[in-house]
Amino acid sequence: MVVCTKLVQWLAIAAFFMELWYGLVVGWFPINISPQLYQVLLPMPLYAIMLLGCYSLIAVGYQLMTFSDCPEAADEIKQEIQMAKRDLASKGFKF
Amino acid sequence: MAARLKDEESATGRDNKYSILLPTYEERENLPLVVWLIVKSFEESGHDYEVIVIDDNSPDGTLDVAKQLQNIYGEDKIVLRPRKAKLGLGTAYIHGMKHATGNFIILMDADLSHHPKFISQFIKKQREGNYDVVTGTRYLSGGGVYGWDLYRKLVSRGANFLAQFMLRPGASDLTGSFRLYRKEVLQHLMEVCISKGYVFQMEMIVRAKQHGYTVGEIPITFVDRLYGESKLGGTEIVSYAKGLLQLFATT
Amino acid sequence: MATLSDRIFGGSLILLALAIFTYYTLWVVILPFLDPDHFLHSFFLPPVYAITLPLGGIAALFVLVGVFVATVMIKDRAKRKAKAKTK
Ligand SMILES: [Mg+2]
Repeated sequence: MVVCTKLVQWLAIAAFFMELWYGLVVGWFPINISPQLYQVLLPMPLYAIMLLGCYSLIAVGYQLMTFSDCPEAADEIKQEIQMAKRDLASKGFKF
Repeated sequence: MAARLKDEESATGRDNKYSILLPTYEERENLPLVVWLIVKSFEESGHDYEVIVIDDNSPDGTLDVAKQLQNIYGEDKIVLRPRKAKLGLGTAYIHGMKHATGNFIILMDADLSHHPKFISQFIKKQREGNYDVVTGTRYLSGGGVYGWDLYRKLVSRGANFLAQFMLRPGASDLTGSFRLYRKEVLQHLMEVCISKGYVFQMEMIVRAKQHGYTVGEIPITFVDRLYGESKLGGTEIVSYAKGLLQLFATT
Repeated sequence: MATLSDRIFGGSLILLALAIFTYYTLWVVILPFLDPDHFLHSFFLPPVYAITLPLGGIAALFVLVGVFVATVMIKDRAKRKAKAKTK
């Protein structure tokens, strides 16, 4: 629990996939890989990074699009400030 | 644990008391307004409360304003715990908590960016799930921010995305400072957390989860009336990144 | 509701991501399986660049972040020194 930090979890996942990829490239596994597939396999770590980057852009873009600007909240507080000032003054408050 | 049992026994929650901590520095304009709104909110909901004003020796006379409010609303409702100098937010919370008589603590800004009308929703949420912490979120639907430009919103969203991605905290808004805590939980978390600034708020939630406390969320609106006063430049971004990496490596 | 500029900017981030994804997927995953004389090949550089260009980009990003952090830290140090002097 103490050792299993978020950093360690991420490193473990990354290490697993890098290992798998390396094994496929070097030919640890008894699988026949066609030349075309091999050519696709080589840039896969970069492809994964690209996927991560695009996912991040889409997530942040979507969150920005749905980030509410709530002008009503600003109007409401403005009105309530006036109410508060009047009521406090009537209770003898000196601003 | 004892506190938790007591909560379950009292379905009404009428024997709960809520202490609102208001750390202030140069808030003579806003303090009377925020206190008025807090009083209004509690008079409508009927819960027991006290407002603890922790003023850091403001030169603008915030403390005199607070004394006037004490005369109007009573010494049991408005409690003054001033300090000699500007000592920062974390120690203000600790100082205020020492004197708090409530079993729940509410932390909020005194500058009207947090609207006291949400307090009753915090309380309702806490009782629904018997949560240890309830945090206000600007990012869920129903919440939002007024008065920020595109740059500020983009940085805020990007920073939050990074934190969500790296830490998986299970809470959507880590840097907000409008929250309700069970008193002993806040005491415990204040002992454990060491960061400052934005990262402090983030660490509080992450450590709460780490120690098995339950965290509920309600959407809030954040109205930045003083846009431009609180900077968000390189220094803030770098210190946020540093804090995030620290939490990433230690939790 | 977000403001119009927020929605436009957020939307363009999403479109940018989709464009990058589509282009790189075609380049790296689809092209190797097409005939060498397929017309799509004319829109892409040779496969070597599908590796070297992103690597270069990542390196550039690291340099940029490093420079940013360094300038911020140097500025902060200067500020702190100035403060210490005035005290
Ligand atoms: Mg504020």
